[in-house]
Amino acid sequence: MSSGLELIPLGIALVGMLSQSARARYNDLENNQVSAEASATLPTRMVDPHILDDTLGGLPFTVEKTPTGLSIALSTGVLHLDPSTGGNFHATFNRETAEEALDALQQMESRYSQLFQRSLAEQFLSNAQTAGMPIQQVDSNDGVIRLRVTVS
Amino acid sequence: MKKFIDIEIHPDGRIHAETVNMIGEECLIAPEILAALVKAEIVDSRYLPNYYQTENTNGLAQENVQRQES
Repeated sequence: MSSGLELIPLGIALVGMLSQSARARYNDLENNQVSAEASATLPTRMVDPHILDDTLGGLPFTVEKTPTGLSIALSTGVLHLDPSTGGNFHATFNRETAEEALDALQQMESRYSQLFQRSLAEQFLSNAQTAGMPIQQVDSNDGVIRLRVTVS
Repeated sequence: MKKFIDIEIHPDGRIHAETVNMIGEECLIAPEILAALVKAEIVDSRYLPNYYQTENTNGLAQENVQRQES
């Protein structure tokens, strides 16, 4: 054990990895359909409808939960996310609109990351309050949320 | 001195935590407290210099050289 720790929240978002990998593959294909594939840990919290609504609201997505994961319908194609495959996903877009679809996916990544980070901070604050543990947020402007827990 | 655990939540979801003004084995309380506050698993941990300190009779922290060498 130690006095310096790194933790990874359960269900960490790795959508960025998905969209970057997808873009890399997109450029390689020459036929009329664009096939994008990537392998990453699926952010399990994405299947939380509340998170989904907040993350995807206003973006050109329609999201449906399926028995195996999520189906995200874009105006340009359908993206299936299936946790049972260990986070692999496969997406097919028309070549003409693939760029637009992947841009939308990157928007989703950005918004999801911000929301997920905020959600983690709220989890800390709420649980500390419940446990009667003094906690405060420290001002920062570098994109990192800083909290300080006072230990009695 | 007040004792703290400073927590950083990064945009990619990574969480970094460090104890402040704690010395020796009292540093080990940090994982327990963090486990109570967030569902997460520890992927890396290390001893910082304050872990190797002890408190002398004047209440001041001093380095425990013997422990560090072992």
